[in-house]
Amino acid sequence: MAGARRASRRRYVLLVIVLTCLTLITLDSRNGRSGPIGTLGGLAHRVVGPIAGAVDDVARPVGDWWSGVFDAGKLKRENRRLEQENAALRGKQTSADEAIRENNDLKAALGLHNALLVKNVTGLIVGRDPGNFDPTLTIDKGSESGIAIDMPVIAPEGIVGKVIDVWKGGAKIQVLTDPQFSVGVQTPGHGLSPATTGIASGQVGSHDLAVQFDAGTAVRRGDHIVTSPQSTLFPSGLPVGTISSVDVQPGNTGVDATITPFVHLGALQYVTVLLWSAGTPGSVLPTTTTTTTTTTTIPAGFGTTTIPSGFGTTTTTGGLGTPTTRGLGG
Amino acid sequence: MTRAMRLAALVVIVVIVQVAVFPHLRLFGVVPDLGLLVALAVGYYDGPEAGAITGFLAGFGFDLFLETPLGLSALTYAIVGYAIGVVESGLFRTPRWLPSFLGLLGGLAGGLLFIGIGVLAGVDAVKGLHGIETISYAALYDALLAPFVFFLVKRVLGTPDRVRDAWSVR
Repeated sequence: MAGARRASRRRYVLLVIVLTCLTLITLDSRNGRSGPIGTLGGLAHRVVGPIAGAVDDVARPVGDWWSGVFDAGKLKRENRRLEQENAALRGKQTSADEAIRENNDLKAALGLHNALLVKNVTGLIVGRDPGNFDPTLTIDKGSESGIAIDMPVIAPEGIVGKVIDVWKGGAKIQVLTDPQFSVGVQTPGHGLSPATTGIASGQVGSHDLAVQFDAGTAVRRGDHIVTSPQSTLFPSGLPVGTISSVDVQPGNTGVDATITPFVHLGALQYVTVLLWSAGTPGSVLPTTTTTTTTTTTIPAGFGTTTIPSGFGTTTTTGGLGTPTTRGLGG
Repeated sequence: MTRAMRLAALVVIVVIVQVAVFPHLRLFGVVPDLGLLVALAVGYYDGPEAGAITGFLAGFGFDLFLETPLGLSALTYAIVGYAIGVVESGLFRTPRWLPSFLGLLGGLAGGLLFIGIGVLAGVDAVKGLHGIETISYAALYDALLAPFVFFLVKRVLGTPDRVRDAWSVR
């Protein structure tokens, strides 16, 4: 009798737990984390954030050692690849210097501000992807710094992701390799082929982004991809990555490409949140000069103390000209 | 300090360690499910009810730090914690390798549940071969850590003759 009562109670407890969880999952999927649950999440982050930050300082060298132990073969291959890449980069150094000089001259001539014209906040990464299906970063700056949901996050190398959760003292960033992440991108254009835009998205189980361009788009391996002017999430002209593969669809109905991001997410320690949202007047850089016959658009020439180098400069001449991109990463 | 309080403290510590430490100690690119292991151990030593409650609390705590739907880990851990308690009542022998075996089995079962419910809840990241690969590696990691977690939980729960009703305040 007592055994039957006990078994009944067990089933009742399990039933209550299952129903509670299903309710939570449904509410979270539909409404996101607002109200008491959101407050509880913020509180949990505030408590664990400082601990995670302190652990991060200690655990980073241990983590590097740990990775070294289990990824020794991969590291050797990576080392060989980097040595080859280094040699190739040395060869390109001369032409890169020339390009930088030319770039600087152009900027000076056009009187561009070589700085971000948008308020930004640099945050320390205090947590990263705690789960196996959760590619996120947590930083130590939050709503008190003006950070809000959907704000773009960048690093000196390029875009990192967007803010998806914020609380006092911290924010969570969805990184660009997350399958749920997508961003408008633009190719550099080649010869007479104009720049083309597309939507790049993260892929399950990959560190690259997938993008599909219209049929006939001239895109090549190694092309530097930047955020497009149509992007509602990011200011245009921010570096995204390089084209790592191109595949023309059967019947030439489109061009599939993958983009290897410029940022190495595992190596990041700080990121910069742009206090910017689509429609913010006078935000980032686009400086437009209109003449009677032509329009010259110079989106973003980023590079300040917080965004040191490499952010792409796109120039379009005469409204019909071929856009050229020179920037980051090379 | 009552056993319930000790267990609650263990759950809190496990969630903090999971979130703050194990992202640095990935094996094959994955982190283990410490909360699931604690639920397994409590279910094994203390029965299905305690396993389910522990799993729910540990999973809920972990869920607060994840972007997957809130309640997904809680549901997974609770069901696995309950199931292991039910299975345990049918075991007559407890060989030394049992915690590792349960860690592997529980990790795989929990992972599959997580994927199944995650797909229904619209979580794209768990889909495909990558999801299966990830939970397989995570289950292996769970198997490695299971003996330590089982030992720890046994110490927290107390001596064998008192190992019942972990969440009772008596």
